[in-house]
Amino acid sequence: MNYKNTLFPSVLTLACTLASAPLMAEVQPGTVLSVANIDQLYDDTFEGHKIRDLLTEKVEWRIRNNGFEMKLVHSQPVTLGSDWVARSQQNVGKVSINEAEGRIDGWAGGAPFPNIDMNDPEAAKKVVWNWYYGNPRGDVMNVPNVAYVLIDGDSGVERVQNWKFVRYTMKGRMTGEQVEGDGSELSRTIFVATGPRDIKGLGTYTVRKDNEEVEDVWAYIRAVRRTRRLSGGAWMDPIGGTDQLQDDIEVFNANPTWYKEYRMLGKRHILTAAHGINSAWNPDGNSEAESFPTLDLAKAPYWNFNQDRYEPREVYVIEAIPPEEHPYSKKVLYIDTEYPRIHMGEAYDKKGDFWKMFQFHSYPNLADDGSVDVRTTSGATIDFKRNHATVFFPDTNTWSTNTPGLAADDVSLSVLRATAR
Amino acid sequence: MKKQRHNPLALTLTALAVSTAIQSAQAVELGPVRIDGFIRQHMSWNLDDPVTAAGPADASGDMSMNRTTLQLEWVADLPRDIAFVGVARANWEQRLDYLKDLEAMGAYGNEGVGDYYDDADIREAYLDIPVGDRTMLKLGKQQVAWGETDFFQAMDMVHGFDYTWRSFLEPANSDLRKPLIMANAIIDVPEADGSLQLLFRPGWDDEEDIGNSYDIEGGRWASNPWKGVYFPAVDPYNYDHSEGDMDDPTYGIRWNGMWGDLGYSFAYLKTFNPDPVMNANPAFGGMAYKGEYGSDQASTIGEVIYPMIDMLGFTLNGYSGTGDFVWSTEFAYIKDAPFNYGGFGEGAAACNFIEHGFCGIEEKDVLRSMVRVDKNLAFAQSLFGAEKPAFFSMQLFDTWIMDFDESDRLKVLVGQPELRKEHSTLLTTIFGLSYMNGRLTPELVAGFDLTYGGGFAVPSLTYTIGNHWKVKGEFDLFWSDGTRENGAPVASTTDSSLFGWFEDNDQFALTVTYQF
Repeated sequence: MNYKNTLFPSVLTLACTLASAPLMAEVQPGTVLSVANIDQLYDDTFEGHKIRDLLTEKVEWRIRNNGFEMKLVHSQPVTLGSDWVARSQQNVGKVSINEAEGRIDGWAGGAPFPNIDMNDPEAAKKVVWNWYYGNPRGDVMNVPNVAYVLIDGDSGVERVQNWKFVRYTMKGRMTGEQVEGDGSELSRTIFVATGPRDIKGLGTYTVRKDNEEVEDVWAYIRAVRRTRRLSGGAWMDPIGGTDQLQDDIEVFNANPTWYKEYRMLGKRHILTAAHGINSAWNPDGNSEAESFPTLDLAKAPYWNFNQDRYEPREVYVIEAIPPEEHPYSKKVLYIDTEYPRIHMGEAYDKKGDFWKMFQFHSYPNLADDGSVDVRTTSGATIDFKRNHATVFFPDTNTWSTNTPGLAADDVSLSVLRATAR
Repeated sequence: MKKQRHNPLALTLTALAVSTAIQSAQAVELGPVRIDGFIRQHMSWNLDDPVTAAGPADASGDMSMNRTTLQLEWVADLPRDIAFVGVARANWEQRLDYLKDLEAMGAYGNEGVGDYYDDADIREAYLDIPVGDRTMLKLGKQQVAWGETDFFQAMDMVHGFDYTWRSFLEPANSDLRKPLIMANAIIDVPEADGSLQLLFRPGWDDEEDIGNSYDIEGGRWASNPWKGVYFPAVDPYNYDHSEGDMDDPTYGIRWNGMWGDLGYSFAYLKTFNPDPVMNANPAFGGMAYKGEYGSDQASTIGEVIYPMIDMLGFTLNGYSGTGDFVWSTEFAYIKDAPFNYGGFGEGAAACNFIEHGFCGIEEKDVLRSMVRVDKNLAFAQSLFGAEKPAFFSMQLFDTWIMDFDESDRLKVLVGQPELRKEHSTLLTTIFGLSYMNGRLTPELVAGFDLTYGGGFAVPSLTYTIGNHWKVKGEFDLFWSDGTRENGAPVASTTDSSLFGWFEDNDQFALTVTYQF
């Protein structure tokens, strides 16, 4: 992995690739891959890759059996901020994994391991650390309106919840002081429900530490007007009534040392929405279809992002093996080779059977301060055993990165209480 | 208790209008004002024959409550980041045959069953005013919760609770807490990882907003055997006693912070004793509290007062990684807490023959303490097929009379013969499961009186339908070591402690809520 300002293979390279494969039909951009044409297009190419090679086994299964459709678009470069790239390069040769303490020593922000050597036995682990530390999300993620849509595969939308999310990075900051506080905290997060009324005001304040310890978590429970400490050991438990574990937030949400092992299975190209439609939720929509225009709510199983756009991206394929007490036997992560982003994931149960699929769409955003953050536009956690999904939509129009004036003290337990009124 | 009269037809029409107008799961936004709320039908049925002064009533199977509630909550954003926050609520109850029977026995006094349960009130209305970067000033009618525990009142004494219509069984105690008109300043001190809270209540509240309200009017939650007996006729409330004057200001201060991984708080509060006590009428040989009796001695046998107390409190909470559980503890020291004494066979004065607890008030220093452990139980997933670990919470609560003297013969409650012990200890547990992505949630809440015997269990099932509807069914079951079977005089050797007051009050309750 080599982080440069322009990270994506050039159109010229692609053109050469296409020219070298004249016998294969090239699928046109805008083509919608579906059960109706998958056999016909299976051996055709898109940007030089056979369609069959762009589909993971589970994605192909979803297209053939689960109503999934993918509109193909040409890939575009993802350009990250120069500060982030420079800071990542500063880490080269200076960082080391401290397994005992559960952190990276010598990390200065950005991705701790910008150059991944596939022959390195720790390559998989380093890619996961890059995600954990280097996710280019900005120093402040301020998302005042998030929708969680709970979907039954037979009957459709069951319930829509609204939440507010604020995360403040305490360490590895790209703006101002590189470290705030005493260096023991990695981030502070407030996550509070704004509706429906039965959950309104229910919120959490989480302090993620820069060590192997579990997070400090408090909840505000509006029904009794009181904060209550929660178990930090709940990182393997479901979030509320959703299909996501705490560990499933954006596919992988654990300190890398909490997992037992990582295995690098290789690199490949997949289809993903790395430039997804960034107004995938219209909070003012008059119907569910208007509110969630990328979701195919016209037919079962109702959770497919059939109206988004999918481009080829090269990814690392990594197996992550959780501890014994975890509900999963393994996760398979599809992590972009150009920047820390998990586009897709799979979870397997203790018997090794396929259980859940995670599909997270994103786009690179140019923030007001000139920095670039990669934002999730929509994310689905699909539980195929229970035929149920939790789909997540941030309101990208009100999302603010590195919000001016928002300080660490604005993300605290007392602010949670005030926010949850 | 004085309640505001309102027109039930208006409530019904308003409820219909609101439910018709609001189709969205989101709050309604009217310019800078966001409004949400709920309409709730709350029903219960007797599963036993409740005990009245005349003995058990033939009321098993009778509907005991059919209550409609409309609650509107709003936040209005004003200039300068000021917000106007409020909660308005109206209740209307059907005049059920069972309640009319209690009324015929004498319950509810001149109010009648309707006015007793119906009310319409602005529960909260306050301004949130940010002052500088660190201070939030809240001015107006509001509620403030202190301490760690939800079941009991240790540090959480800023407000009283209204237990008249549903006793202690409502889990959302913000709906039972009685808001007060206060100035409330919260000053963040990030340098010390905490915040300072200053409270001042000027004494502008209505009288019914002071202290805890229990059903002493003979209604469906009057303690055994006093259903059908309207005590205020001869034991009126006196909110003007010089040691418990509702017009006097009350105030408090709390520091709430973090010390490493531990959360803690310290507090001092000058407030009314949460539970009312009976001030003895000297005409019957009792000792009036501080020598003062404000009611007519000729037409009363006692008066209900809420003496002022001083409370010093401390809480601590933390997480044990070793056992993967959250623990918390709370202590509240109360200087000169009031207790009633007197009863049959306990003296020659006439007050001993009126009822238990009518001879006077003894002050004692009290330490209330609580220890709680919360743990997620993973085995529930395999054992019960739940979608996530069960929530389990166990709480031990103790009231220690520090200068206890058995010869004081303090009563657990006026009107009940049971004598207090030095320690009164309760254990409660909560066990909650989750199915169907949190839409189906069985729960078992149980409590055990480790000192006087008895307990309660509330198994319940809540089903959430879409964004708007929620249905909850529950059984409220009580058992005890003994209870009064009727209003005939009994000696203080009779068992009649907390859960004896609820014996034979088993209920099935059904709550249907439409939220918007």
